[in-house]
Amino acid sequence: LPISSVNKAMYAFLFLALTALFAVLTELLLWRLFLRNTSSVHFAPPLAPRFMHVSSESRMGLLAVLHLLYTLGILCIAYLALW
Amino acid sequence: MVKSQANAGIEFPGKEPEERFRFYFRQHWIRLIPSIFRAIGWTLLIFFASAMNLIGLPLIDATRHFILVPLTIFFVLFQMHLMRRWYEYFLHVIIVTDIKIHRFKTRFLLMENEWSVDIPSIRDIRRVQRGPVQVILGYGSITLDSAQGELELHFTPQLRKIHEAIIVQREENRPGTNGKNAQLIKDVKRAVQSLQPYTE
Repeated sequence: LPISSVNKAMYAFLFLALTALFAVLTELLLWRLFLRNTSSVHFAPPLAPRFMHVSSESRMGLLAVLHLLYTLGILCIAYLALW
Repeated sequence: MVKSQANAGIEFPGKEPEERFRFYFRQHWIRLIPSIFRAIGWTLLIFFASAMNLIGLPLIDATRHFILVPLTIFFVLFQMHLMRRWYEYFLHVIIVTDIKIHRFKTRFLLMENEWSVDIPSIRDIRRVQRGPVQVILGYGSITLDSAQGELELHFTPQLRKIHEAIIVQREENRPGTNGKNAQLIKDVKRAVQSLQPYTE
């Protein structure tokens, strides 16, 4: 059946909502796993020495944002490829 | 720089009250390279394949989807694989304190491994670099031979410095040295200080 533009928009919206949900859930799972493993955000990924003034909390925050963007990005590319 | 005052509050599982954090490290980033290349390869493939319409291939939607669906599935799977590898790298932490070496290794739902060894019980500390890539990038394996058994720390970055830093911890803990190894300790403390990205 031909998919109308209205249906396409609805699918896109549903897909984005599910993708965002997936990204947030994996984020929460990984955050919990990380804290259970190390008990401290001190062990956030090290950065290059010139950025070492950035606090562990900020590095974890940056990681969280990157995780969301990456997950959203790859699933959006997959969706657009099939558009 | 090792700042004992700042490090006093750092907590991790299995830490004893009198333990003092020295430094920590993860495996070398080279472990992520195969996954990164695979993810890049599938990304390029999906971009070229999804441009089939633009380059004028006369494909109907059903045929195009028939080609693109498996490609897209593999693309997503390999991206997720890269993410899994990254988090495994991220959750594999080796922490060196003044009296113990702790290794935390997680493979998500497949494995959770927490291992600790008393530094005074370490009989021998060996380092091995195999092949030109390891020598050029400065990573390799450290073998800790202790009373609890032998353990290899593979893909250790800054191998020489970390090896020396573990040696100095052992010398500091060795009973009856009474400053006999003071020069060695002094030299290696300088090496520990140069591990700046891994200490705070």
